[in-house]
Amino acid sequence: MGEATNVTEVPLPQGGTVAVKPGDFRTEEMLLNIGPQHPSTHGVLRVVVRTDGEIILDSQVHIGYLHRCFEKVVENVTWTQVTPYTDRMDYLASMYNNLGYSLAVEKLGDVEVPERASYIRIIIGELQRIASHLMSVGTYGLDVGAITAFLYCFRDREITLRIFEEVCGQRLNYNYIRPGGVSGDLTDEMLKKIDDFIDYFLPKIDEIDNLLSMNGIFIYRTAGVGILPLDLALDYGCTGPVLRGSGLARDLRKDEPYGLYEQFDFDVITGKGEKGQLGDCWDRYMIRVREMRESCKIIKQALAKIPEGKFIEPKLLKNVKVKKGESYLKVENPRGELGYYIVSDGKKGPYRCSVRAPSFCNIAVLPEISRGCMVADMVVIIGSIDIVMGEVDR
Amino acid sequence: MIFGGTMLSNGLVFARYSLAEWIQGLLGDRLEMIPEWILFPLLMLAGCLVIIGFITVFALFAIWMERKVSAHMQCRLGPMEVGFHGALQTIADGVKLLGKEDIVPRHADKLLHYLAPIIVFAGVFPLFVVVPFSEKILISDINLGLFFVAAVGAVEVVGVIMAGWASNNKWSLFGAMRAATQLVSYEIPLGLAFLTIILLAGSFSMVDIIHQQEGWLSNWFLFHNPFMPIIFLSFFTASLAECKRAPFDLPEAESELVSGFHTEYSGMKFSIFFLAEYAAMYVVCAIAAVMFLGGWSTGIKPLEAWLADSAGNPMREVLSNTVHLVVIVTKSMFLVFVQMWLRWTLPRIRLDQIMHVCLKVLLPWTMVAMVATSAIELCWPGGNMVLTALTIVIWSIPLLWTLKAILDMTVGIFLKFVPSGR
Amino acid sequence: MNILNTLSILAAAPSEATAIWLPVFFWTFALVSVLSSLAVLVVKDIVRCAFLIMSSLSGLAGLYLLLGAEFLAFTQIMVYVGGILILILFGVMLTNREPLLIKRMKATGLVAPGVLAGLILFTAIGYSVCTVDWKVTDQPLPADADTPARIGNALMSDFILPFEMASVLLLVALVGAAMAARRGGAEG
Repeated sequence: MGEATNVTEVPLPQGGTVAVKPGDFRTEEMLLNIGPQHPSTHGVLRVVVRTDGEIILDSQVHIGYLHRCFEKVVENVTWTQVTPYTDRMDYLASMYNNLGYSLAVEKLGDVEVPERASYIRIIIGELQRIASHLMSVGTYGLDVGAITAFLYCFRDREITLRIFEEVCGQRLNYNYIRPGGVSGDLTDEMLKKIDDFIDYFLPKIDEIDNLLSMNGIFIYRTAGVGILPLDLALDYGCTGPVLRGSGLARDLRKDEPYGLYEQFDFDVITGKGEKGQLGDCWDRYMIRVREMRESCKIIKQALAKIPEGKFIEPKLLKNVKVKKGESYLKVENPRGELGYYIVSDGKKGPYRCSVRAPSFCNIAVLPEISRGCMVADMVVIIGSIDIVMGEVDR
Repeated sequence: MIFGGTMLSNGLVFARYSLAEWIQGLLGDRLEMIPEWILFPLLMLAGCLVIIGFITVFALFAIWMERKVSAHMQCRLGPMEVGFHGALQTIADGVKLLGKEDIVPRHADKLLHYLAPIIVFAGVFPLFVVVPFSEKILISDINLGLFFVAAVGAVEVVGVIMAGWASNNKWSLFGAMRAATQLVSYEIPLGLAFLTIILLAGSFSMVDIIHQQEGWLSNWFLFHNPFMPIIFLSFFTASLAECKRAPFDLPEAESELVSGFHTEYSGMKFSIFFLAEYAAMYVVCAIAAVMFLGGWSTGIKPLEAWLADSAGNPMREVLSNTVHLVVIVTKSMFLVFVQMWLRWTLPRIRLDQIMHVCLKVLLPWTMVAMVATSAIELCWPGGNMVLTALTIVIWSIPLLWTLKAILDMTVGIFLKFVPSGR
Repeated sequence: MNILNTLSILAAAPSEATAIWLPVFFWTFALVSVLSSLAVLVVKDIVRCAFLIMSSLSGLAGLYLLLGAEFLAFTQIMVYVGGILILILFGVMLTNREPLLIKRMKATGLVAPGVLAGLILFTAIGYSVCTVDWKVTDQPLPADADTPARIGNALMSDFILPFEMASVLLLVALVGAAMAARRGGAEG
């Protein structure tokens, strides 16, 4: 009996396990801290991995290095003062954080949003999705060692950031989408600029495909690595590209449309396991590249249909009146399902505001899918989950 | 810059015998006064100093080139401030590195930590002894040249392992283990490629190998038979792994292992690692040029014959040496450029994949090509024009594609010199 | 080590005037190799031991160079420094319990057998050195004394049987190693 319990199952990189008995030739295990200061943990993620040589036996995710008490802070500010704090959660998709919060407040406070504002929100939101995905795709290139792809993505992301800067004066933390509308109008000149960007950008996606997505070594590194089966993804509450990479066409823009998304025609991209197995890193990566094309499609339609009119009731910029009650609203952030749960006691600001952060749920699956991989794969898997630590820790 | 540096050396003519001749010419009868047993170590010292000078000048140029090449591939300008288009940036950085604090981690093995950069450099430095620049400009044409390269080239890894171990850092240790694993994989296809060339040339000597390829371009070993380009590609891939360049830069993989084996190195020790890496780049490229691309041969038979006919014509001898120097340095620099090109294009490969590539892809292909080449050499000793023509026809498509890409890139750089959006 | 090797390559064709330097090189290489061998016995740190072995083997390679046996010298570096030493280091690093602590070796109870084995080896070598009739000659070595061509010819003609036997032995070792490594997979 003692014999049997001493047998340990050691995972192999190619899948499956090997039974190891005491006395077998084994190399020593090593505890390795990946992060919080590491070039490829996308911020201050810390993963403690137990390795056998380079093979990961087990890993544990440590978070909290970027905790800034978002939920406590916003209990002490007014409804409009919350938006700058939402910016700082997912700082790569601030517009979408603003949007989620604004929609939640509008739902609770029965605030009417002008139609033009809704269109602007969609244009800016999708532009933000492109910017965020470009960041993700670019840094993913960096993670696997393709530095040029990173700079190509940043070159194009720079243009979107310039557009945002012209729209609201900020490059990263916008505070642009407010409860009741948006803080500034998009002039015709701006709309033209966005249109030009889309025309310029669509061929650039092919460039990324040529340089990175279809690169033999890239496929070699990412396909069949970090496979996330659908049931596991659902168990862990994964959303966004991570869930879609496992093959489920779940997209809140389609399933539970908010804003005016029901009026737009676009496809939900899902992973098909083209290069390796369904739900591998390549699938998750490719979802983002393909979603950029869909975002371009949405922006084109919105630009064609955008109506004239107000973009916000000016008095709403001061503060919003919200009646007593609570609301939960979720939007499809570039990283997944971003939910805002707001409780109001009828006063000037939220009584309680809780956030369901997509990165936080997605990163939880890391130990499951990285078991048996190599240290080099760990970096690739973290990159494919695409986390933003500001959002994980809040 | 590199041309200037080596041209200067050309004037010095520092080959073993030529250097003696030159000194004789300089000192005339006074040479008699210097005993040869003093002259001999002085000559050796001069040879070492010339190598170190060359490595330094080459590294200065190559680092600048790497930064410019990468910058223009990435729609950037790269260093622009120090000197013309940032040409002096490397010197500025070198001065900065000299002034940096030398940090040795606590609990590190101080002695080994100190020795590691020296061993790494010592693994590259002797290789320059056999790297030829022209008939007269070479330190020594030992008759085991290629074997010497294969032997001494492995010493560098010992230094890398030493650095990784002595740093008392897990990332460094991973880098060291990866370096060892990598060595075991790439050395075999590398050795087989050496073997094929030795088989064709019937000699280990670099100069002999080059002499075998003189004459027209078709005499280059690359075009010897349709299997030679396979050997060349395999050699080039393995040599990328040898000098730890992307996509085989696993021992230092900065996105995975922070900086790998040199994570804990700073200041001058770090720059010696850097210097060794660039020196290794030149060495493997020069050896590839010698082995496959005819070395210093221009590939134009009448020109070669004219240059070789230098009896009693010292000016033509100088001209011949200069031309050959420029030719072999250009060939090597082109390969160095390809190395950079690959580094800034390709993602990094994984450890088990590098073993797979080297042992299951490169090894069988090289093996087949080697057996085929030896069979061909047995049937048609000295090569066959039909086979050469066949080689060029078969491989012209990838060759033309490469040329097109190079043209796109070089001409393209000048067409859109300043990246848009600035 | 390697700089010394470089120098001795330059010394590969000693003329009468430069021969004055040969004792210098000889004593350098000899001292390096003997002192580092002794240090291997004394030093307790196992990794340093491995690097000392490298220094000892490189010194030996230098001695080969001075004897005009270039091929042997380079083989020495290639096989021992580039191959075996790296495998030793690899093994030490992978199997150490605490990979980052400098490992101290404990004195084992094998001192007496070690001394005994050393004595036997020393006697055997000393006996053969003393008894074999070495052919001493003043003649310089023929130019092609150490060419790989001659070695190759010898291996393929006179020594073909030992050569092939060694190949078969290595092949068996390779297959055995592969089987040992596959053992876990074959059972599972």
